[in-house]
Amino acid sequence: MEIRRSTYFVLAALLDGPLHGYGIIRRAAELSDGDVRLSTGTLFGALDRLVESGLVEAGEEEKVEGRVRRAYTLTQDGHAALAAEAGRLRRAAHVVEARVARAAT
Amino acid sequence: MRRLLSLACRAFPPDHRARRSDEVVDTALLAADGSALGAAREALSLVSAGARERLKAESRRTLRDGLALLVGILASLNLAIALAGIGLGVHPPPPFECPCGPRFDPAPYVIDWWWIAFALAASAIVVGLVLGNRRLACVAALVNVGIVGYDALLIAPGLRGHLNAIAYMQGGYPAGQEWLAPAVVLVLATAVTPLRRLSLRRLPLTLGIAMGLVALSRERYGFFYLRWPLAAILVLALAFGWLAPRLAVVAVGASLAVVPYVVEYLSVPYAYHDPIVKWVAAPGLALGILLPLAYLTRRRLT
Repeated sequence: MEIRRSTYFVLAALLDGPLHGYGIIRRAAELSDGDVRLSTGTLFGALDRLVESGLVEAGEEEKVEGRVRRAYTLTQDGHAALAAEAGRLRRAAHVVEARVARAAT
Repeated sequence: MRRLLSLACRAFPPDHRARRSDEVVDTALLAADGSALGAAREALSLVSAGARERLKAESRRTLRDGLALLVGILASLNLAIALAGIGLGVHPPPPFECPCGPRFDPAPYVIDWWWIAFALAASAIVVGLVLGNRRLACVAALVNVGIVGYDALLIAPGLRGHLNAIAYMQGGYPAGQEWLAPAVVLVLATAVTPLRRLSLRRLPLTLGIAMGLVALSRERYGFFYLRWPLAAILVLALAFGWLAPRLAVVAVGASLAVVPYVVEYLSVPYAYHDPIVKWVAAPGLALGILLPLAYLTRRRLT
């Protein structure tokens, strides 16, 4: 399964534990050094797909300081999919890095 | 800001959590960080995500959903025609002057029992559909086809039909024979569509749509009234029917409803027929029936 860049960082944001929607946006921005700025529409689109495919689990809705939120947790399948995608990216990067290094020497 | 973001969430389908809970709006408010520009950006992203969700939901619709939409469209148009006829009787337009030919003298136009019965039957169909009352909707649709048929088959041949009288004054208004086929399609579609009770807010909404069409019908040649909306539906169905089965069903129903009109248009040699329309009408109609049917058949097979 191919994972989009924004979805990859949504999954990565959940590696350290459950987060609610805005928490995921902030964590994804931190992890990507501000490169990935998830909009709410993109985030919930990705979460819908991830929950549907069983990679993420949605918790119960709760009200905190007058705001409604829900915690999202990475499932075992989510961990596996994220690890597989990280491996694929590493191998893809290695192909280019090896050739760039060879060309430089 | 909350209001803007809540409005943007209306782009999502009614059963989506963005519409049912404040979670999405509250997250968007936090993401906007109090900035108007940020709120606009979030709203735009919600509209775009909502449109994608709607498209996804649309592809899961069934043929029966398409029939329900077709019935809704035809019932609204039927009501609009009845109300437009009564409106034209109260405020008639100036007499029809054709610069290229002799002046037409329309038949005497009065609001009689026929118009009142037509408007009542058209209203009863809409009420029956909104209440999900199949018996009321079917009986009203049958009475409606009887009323339109009486005018089209018994009165119109002598050029004294109620709809014909208006058609002489307003170019785009359907003459009696032309509205008979859509009225028949309305009966058949009402009979096979599974009805469910809708929100009562649909009643003023339908009346509003019908009144909008009545206002458009005042345009002299009436292209905005029926022909352009129909053309728009057909073009949309041809373009997106493979994705949205409801559109394909509506296109087939609408095309079948205008078959007699197109056949009459092509078989009667009026001098003022537009040659482009004449060449486009038959192939367009065939395409409007066959291509959506192909989409629907392919969907059933896969």
